[in-house]
Amino acid sequence: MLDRIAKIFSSLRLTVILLAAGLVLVFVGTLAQVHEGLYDAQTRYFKSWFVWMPTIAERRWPILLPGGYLIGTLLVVNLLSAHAKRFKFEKKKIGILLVHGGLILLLLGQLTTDMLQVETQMRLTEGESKNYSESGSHAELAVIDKSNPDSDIVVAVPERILSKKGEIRHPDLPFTIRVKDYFPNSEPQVRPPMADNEPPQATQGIAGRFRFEPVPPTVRMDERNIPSAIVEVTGAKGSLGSWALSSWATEEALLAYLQVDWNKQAGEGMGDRLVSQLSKPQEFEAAGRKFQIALRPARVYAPHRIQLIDFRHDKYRGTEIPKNFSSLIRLTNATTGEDREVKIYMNSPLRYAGATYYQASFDKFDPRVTVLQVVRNPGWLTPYFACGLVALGLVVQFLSHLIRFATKRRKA
Amino acid sequence: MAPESSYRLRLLRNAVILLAGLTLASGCRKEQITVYRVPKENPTAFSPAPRAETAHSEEGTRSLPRLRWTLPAGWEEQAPSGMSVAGFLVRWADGKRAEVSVLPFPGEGASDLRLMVNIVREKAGLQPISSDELSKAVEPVAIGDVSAKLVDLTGATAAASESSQSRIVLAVLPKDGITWFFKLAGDGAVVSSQKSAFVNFLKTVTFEPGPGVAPNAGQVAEANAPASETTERPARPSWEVPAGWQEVPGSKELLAKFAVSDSEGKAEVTVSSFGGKAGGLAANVNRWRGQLGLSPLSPADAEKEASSLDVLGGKAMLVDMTGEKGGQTTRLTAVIVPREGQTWFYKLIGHASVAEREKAAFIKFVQSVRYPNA
Repeated sequence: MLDRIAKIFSSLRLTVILLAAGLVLVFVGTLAQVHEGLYDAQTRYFKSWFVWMPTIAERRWPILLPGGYLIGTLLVVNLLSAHAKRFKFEKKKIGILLVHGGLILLLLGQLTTDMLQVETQMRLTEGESKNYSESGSHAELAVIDKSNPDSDIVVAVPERILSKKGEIRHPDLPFTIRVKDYFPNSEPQVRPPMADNEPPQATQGIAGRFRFEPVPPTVRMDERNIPSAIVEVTGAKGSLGSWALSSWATEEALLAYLQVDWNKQAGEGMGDRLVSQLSKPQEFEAAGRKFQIALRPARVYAPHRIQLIDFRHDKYRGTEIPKNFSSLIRLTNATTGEDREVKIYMNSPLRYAGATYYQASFDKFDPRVTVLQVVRNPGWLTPYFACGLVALGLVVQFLSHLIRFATKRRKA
Repeated sequence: MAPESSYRLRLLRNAVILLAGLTLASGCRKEQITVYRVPKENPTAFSPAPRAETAHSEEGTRSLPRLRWTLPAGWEEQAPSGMSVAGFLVRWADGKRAEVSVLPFPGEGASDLRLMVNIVREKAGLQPISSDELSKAVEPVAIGDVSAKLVDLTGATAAASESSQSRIVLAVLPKDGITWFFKLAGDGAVVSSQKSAFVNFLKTVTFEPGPGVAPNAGQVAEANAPASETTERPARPSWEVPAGWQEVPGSKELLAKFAVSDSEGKAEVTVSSFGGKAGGLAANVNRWRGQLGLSPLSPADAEKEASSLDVLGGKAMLVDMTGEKGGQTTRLTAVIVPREGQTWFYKLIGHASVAEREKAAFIKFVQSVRYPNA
């Protein structure tokens, strides 16, 4: 029995089937991005074990496809068991062994990257410093205990939990949060002063001036979903009120966009005023402690701090085509005592404490703002090693053939 | 099975277990509530992008004109709130009421009447109306000596309750780069009865080039000034009300309002509280000067206007000024108390002689205030 399983796993037929399945998956998954959106399709087709009801030709079919993880894992198992079964050390085959070792490392490395890599962004205005970066695709409900004089305690609730609505309790919070409404995608609206007969979405905070209307989630590449939620906080003595929370009110890039948009729509100055009202922190008191509540991009904190000293965005003269961007930053780490300046520009990222900071983008509306991509990938070196191994294997293989051929000729 | 092949199988099994463990360990990240402690951050309020217009507007080229009007009988003047620069309340039987507010919108973008009407209609779940339909609904009206447009939005608003339909009458006047909205809104019956008073009121409105707060130039001060704050009401402190003061209901921005009157005239005392610095001393001094028809001072001079006053638990700032409001000599005495991230405003305003007589009582009143968590 074990022998038979081992035989199947080590067969070349399985390799061929898996490669064919991989081909189909890549084809279907790529086309599905049109309908399901880049991020969602990648998660559903490639970062999964199985795909149920894939989209083929604009229709969802009730079939089960193997997911990217399944195909990858089986390929690794196939390769390993083939070697386990037929392995016999021969000088002649060193090259082939190295190539296969490289392939296995590549597959494993890709799997770890896929599962462990965290990609976030850090948006900095000149002079500003941050010790955290923010997710571009996930939000979190942050409840911040502001009552300590020197530090804040943050209870971060992932968007996934929020989206299930229901009640949220946590031992560190002296109250219950009830998610009354959750909109995966939303649009902000100013409650016009001439239509103030409609009740606000929540009783406290910015809800008096703004509404967040649910809109259908987008799948387009150049758009993204901006979530909002309506939550009610209930303490020991009953309800403390309800709040309208939205990424629109916390994300700097969105606020910058709204400021420009509203200034255009309602007149210069109006946008500035509305945005300063929208971005106002929403606070309340419970059990004698002061809390702040917000829906914001999920944050990843680092032990070090990065301050933007200068952002340069050069264009080719007379055009709007960017020539290069560079961010001069100051890196400080209180634990190691480090304090140095680093220039980050295209193809020259900063690698520090397991994270890589790339120059990624800029703000269309504010020339003082840089956007750094922060990638934490414990497996970032594996593709380099893997490719090195494959290259070395190929060189060894060709050279050994060449040498054998040359010596044969000389003999003849 | 040969020992060598069983060794290989073990190797294979270990590799599979390793893979499975790796995927499982990393598969269930990020789905839990996490708690962490972070150093206190400086309040990094959103800093707006610099605009090319800033320098130009700082010169105050688009300052808001000052409005003058004649108050119709039965209308009560309210403290301006939100975006309005003037507000009035009409009380009716059975607690029914209507409100009049004056809202300046900087820019011509807001002058699209159809857009404004359709925003209101959309909110009520009604179909937008076409330009033709709108032109039928619009009637001409005079605001001062300028002709403007008046729209009656009966039925275009959601009913406040089954029995009483609410109604909005809106007059719109684009003037010198600012669109002025005069809004009469509230209970249908009250609005109907007040419409003619509203139209007459509009006729009395005059615009005077004045140093009033510019929505553009003074946007920073204005955005933080008490008038536009929307914070929740803090707990009310305790105090000793001087003899002769009568507590009266105030607008929702106010914590308390008192009325004092004698044969010569009347004055009022208001108490309000706002988060943060509420725009700062200079901005508020100039806001008050604007209300009294006085020209604005430079920030340094405005701060010199204030003198120090001892109150319970600290120092406060006292300002005193006399000007003209509504055609009579008016005096304004105000005390600003910054306290634990909040700013408290005590204001005595009214007929100069009454305000002068009450000033000592007012200061004693402010000094008697005990804050909730002191």
